[in-house]
Amino acid sequence: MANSACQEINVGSKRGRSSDEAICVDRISRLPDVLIQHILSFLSTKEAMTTSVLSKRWLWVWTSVPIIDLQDTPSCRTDLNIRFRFGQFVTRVLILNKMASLDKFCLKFNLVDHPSHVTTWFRDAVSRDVKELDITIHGTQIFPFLKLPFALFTARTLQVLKLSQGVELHVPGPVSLPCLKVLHLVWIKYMNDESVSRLFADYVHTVRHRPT
Amino acid sequence: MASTLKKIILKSCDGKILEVEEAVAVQSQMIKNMIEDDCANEEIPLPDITGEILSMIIEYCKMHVDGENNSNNELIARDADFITRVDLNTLYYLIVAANFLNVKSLLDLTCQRVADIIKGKSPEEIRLTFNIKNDFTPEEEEEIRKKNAWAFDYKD
Repeated sequence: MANSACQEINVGSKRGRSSDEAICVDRISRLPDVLIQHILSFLSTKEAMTTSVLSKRWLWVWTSVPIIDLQDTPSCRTDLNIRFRFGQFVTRVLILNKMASLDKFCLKFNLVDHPSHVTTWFRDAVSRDVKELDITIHGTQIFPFLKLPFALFTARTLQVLKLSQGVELHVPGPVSLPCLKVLHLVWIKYMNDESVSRLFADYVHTVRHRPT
Repeated sequence: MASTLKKIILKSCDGKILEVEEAVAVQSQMIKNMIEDDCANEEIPLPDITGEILSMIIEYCKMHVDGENNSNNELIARDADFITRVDLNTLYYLIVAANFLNVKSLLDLTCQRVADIIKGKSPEEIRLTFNIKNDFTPEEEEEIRKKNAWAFDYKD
C-alpha cells in the first residue's frame, strides 16, 4: 500500500532514484524545522494544522509558520454555532503561533457577535509586527460592520493592508503607516469624512480610485 | 561583457566537476557572495550535493537566465514543467541543495511542490505519500484531533 502511494508520485519521472528502498524512506520529516515551516507557509493554516497529527516530529512545527491564513467554511454563513467555533479556532491559532513577527495575517470569515474578540485578533497581529493584513468580513446582514482597532492605523511594519466588505472605517486619530505600499479597500463603509481624509492624508497624491 | 563569460567551477560531493557561466552561477546567492568576496577563483566544493542534483540546479538556473526576457507566464510554465518531472526523493535533495546554495526561487518552487502534494490529502494519505511513521498512540492522536478539531472536522 505504502509502495503504491509512493510510486504514484514517481510515475512519469525521468530523473531521480527509482529503487523501492530509496522511494520509501521518510525524508521529508528529516528536513530541518525551518524548511518544513517554509513548506507549510504555502498551505492555509488549517491545512498546516492538519500536519500536527502526522507524527511527533510534526506536532508543533505548524506553530512556527510566520503566515496565518484562515478562512471559515460555507456552513458559517447560516450556522452561528459554527461561526462561534471558528472564532475559538482563530483564538487557538493565535495563542499557539510562536512567531514574534508575522509576514502575513489573512482572515476571511463571517462575523460573530463578539467584536471585541475579533479586534483582539487584529491587535495581536499588529503587536507581532505584521507586514501584510488581509481581512474580509461577511455576515454583516446580521451583525453591524466591524470597526477596526486604531492600533491597525499606526502599525509601523505594515506594508500591505487589504480590507474588504464588512468593515466600517473609523479613524479617530492621525494615521501613521510608514511602510505601507499597498492599500485595498473594497466595499467598505466610511464612518465620516475625517476618517477618510486621515487615512489618505499621506497618500493623496498616489491614490488611484478604481470605479466599480 | 568579459565578466558574463567567466566560468565558475563547482565540484559535487561525488566528485563531478561542472563549469558554469558566472551569470548562471550567481543565481545562487551563496556563490554570488563568494564571487563578491573573491573566493570563487578556484573550484568550489559542495558537500552533500551530488552531481545529479547539482546538474538539475544548474539546468534550472540556466533556464531562468535564458528566460529573463520571457513573459512571466512562460517562466511559470517552464517552472511547472521542471518541477512536475521530479520524484519525491529528488525533490527532497533539491530542497536541501536549494537552501544550501540559497537559490530562493528554486527553494520556493520545491517547497510549493511539496505543499501542493500535501494539499487536499487526509493525514493518512499524507503519511502514505511520504512514508511518515505514525508514532502516536491512538489515544494521543485522538487528543490532538480533539484539540485541533476545526482542522479535522470542518470541510472548506
